[in-house]
Amino acid sequence: MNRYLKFGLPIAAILGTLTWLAFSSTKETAGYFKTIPEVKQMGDQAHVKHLRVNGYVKEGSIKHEGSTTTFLLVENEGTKDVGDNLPVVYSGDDPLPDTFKEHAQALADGKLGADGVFHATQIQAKCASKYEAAPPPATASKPTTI
Amino acid sequence: MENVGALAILLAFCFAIYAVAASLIGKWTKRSLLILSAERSVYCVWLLLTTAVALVLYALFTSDFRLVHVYSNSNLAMSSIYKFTALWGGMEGSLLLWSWLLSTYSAVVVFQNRRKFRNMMPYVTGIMMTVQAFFLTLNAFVESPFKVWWAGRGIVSDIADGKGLNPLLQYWTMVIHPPMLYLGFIGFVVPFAFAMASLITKQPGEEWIHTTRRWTLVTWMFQTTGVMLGANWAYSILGWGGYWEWDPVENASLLPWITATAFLHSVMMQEKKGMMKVWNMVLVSVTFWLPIFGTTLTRTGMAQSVHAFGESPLGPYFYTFLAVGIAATAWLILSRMDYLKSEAQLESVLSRESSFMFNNLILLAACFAILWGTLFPVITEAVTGQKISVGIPFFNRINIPIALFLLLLTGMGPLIAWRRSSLESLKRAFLWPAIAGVAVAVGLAIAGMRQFYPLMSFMLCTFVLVTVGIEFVKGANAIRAKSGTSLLMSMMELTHRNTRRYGGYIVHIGMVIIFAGITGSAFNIDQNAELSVGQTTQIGHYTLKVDKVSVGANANYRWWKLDLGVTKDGQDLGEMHPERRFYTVSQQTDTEVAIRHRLNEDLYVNFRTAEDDDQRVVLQSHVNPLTTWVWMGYFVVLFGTLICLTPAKNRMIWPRMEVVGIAGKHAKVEE
Repeated sequence: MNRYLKFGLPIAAILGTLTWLAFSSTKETAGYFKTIPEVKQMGDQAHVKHLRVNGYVKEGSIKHEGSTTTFLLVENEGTKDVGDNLPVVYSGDDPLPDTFKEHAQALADGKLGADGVFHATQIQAKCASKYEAAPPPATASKPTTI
Repeated sequence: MENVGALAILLAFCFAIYAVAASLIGKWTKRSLLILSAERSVYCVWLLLTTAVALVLYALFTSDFRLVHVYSNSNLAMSSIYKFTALWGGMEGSLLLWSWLLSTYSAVVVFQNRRKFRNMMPYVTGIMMTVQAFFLTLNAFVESPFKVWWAGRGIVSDIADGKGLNPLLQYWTMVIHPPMLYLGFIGFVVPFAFAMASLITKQPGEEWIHTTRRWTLVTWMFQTTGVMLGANWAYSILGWGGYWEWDPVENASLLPWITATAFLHSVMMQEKKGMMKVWNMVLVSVTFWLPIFGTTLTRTGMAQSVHAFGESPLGPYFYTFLAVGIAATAWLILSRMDYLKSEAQLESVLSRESSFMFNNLILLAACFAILWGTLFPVITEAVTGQKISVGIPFFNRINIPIALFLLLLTGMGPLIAWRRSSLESLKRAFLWPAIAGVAVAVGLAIAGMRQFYPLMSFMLCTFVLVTVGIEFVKGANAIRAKSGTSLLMSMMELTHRNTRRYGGYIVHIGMVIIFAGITGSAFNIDQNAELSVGQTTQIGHYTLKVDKVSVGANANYRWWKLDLGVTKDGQDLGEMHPERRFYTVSQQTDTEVAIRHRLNEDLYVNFRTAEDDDQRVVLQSHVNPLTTWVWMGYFVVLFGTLICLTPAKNRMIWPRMEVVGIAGKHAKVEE
């Protein structure tokens, strides 16, 4: 057998299989990052696709009922426009992360229900970054290098 | 004090620039004194950076909150070990640590080779100091650890307390994880610098591989340690019950490890057969650039990650450094293609050469797949304008078959002959291992295990273990026939005679143990329960009973502790004490998981929340089979690597088979 063919065939078989695996699992696990206004504009697509919506947890909106948690996700912390609110309901198996609290940045994974409520299967939350230098409470000041 | 520190970093930056210029100009104009001065300034860089690190540590220990870095990463009540680790708690500090470790490596290399490789060394110094200068630019001008708070014209000095170190980082593995990982990442600068220097000076041979073999192994060992510590930290601290979730930060640490592993294997092809020369150059470069790329990825907000790294102004610096560096590396390799011609060709699919080739192919495929998955949101956003991410199943589905194939190669590769192997000899070598593997798989299937991948995995693990076992016993028996010592003594003698080979086998055994441990995760059980004091819940064979919730506080945090009675099939196993903490200064909640480690399975209990005046608790429990094997396997890998690093009793030099011919196979030259 030709030398190139001899090595080419197994290599092609391996890479082919992996490409196929990559392709099929990409399709299955794809999650679309959307902002809240984008979700509102998606129309029917929002009910079909797996979405990942980023926003902030609105103050005073977290309600626990049994194992279900509902809250409002807002585009940014100063949002007043009602249109940018997204009601989220979470009833997943895993308890919510420690970092999930009012004002926290949260990423909700799931689908938009027919009722306009976002049904999340997973919630990730992130505190305000450690490395963002916020001024010390006592003095209003700015960091600088001497 | 902060002025002295900032000055030290600035001076180190100047010395690094000087070292680059002096060593290159000295080389081109043949002035050895200039080269010597460049080497001396490498030591100066190290001294200055050591001073800077010492000053940051001093500031942390004296709680000098005028410094932004100290304020953001420590507080008064923190214990001193964590004040120490707060050095690399923030961006500024971790970049300083990076610079300092790099300068340490450079100083050691320059010292070791002060009389050797006079031809290559100026370039080696030049390359290492170029990288150093890049990081010092960041230390000195972008993310200085000596930034202070100021108002108007004065420094703010009345800050009572700092924000404290992220509680998630207050754990022992986190104390050593970042330095280990950095040691592993930065260490590859040495093989890389030697490789590039040998290209620049058009060295004909494999000198750079021989000289850097030990460096490569040591840095690989650090990388392995770093990755494993990271996994262990995630398991013991994050509380979700696992140790790996294909997060961009985790992936960024795994990618260079994969290419480094590929490199460790493919250099053998070059050493023994003079093949894969271009490939090795590419691999060593990729392994060097990937950590810097990974840093870019995770620290500039390019990839979304649960690890909270802030947006930073580092992006443009990293992009420029990467673009220029990779372009220069690629140009250098392409322009020296004539010196990298292969001395032999692949002959047969059933040969050692081909098993190395497949090993590299599959490792690089894994690397590419992980990179693809990590970058998928970035790629899709660039191409379609829509950010799309892939989930954990994506990574698992691709990497499980790859891992199984790798296991198969781990068993077969070392026993297949160079050049070509007959089916007859394969049958001789692999008949019993194959029978053992199939027997284990059949046994497990009869016992009730039905999933395909775990069965395959345990079958292949057995296959590799038996193959390696036979190698040890065969070799030891040959020694025993002559010397008459015990089997164990003969095995030790055998390993001592060829540490590289048998050390390598031990590393393989360690990897098999790790793989078996990972396979165990296919049988994890998870369960959530909301319980009042006195109630019980059942998970697997275990019954958990909430005996008591106690509450308390110390200077650093408030805590809720659970007394959890554990019984297994009615037998009392004592109590477990999962804990929750609320850190007062940083206002963050943190969980102290309780884990009962056993060889067969871990019982993992996470105390989620306490409600109704601490009379009701939410428990998240997991039974994780074989997880301990992952950590045990690591220690075997470590042991094996250390053996590889030990000099062999007989220093054997194998002449190239191509040159000497068939007889060369057995020709050994003893010194």
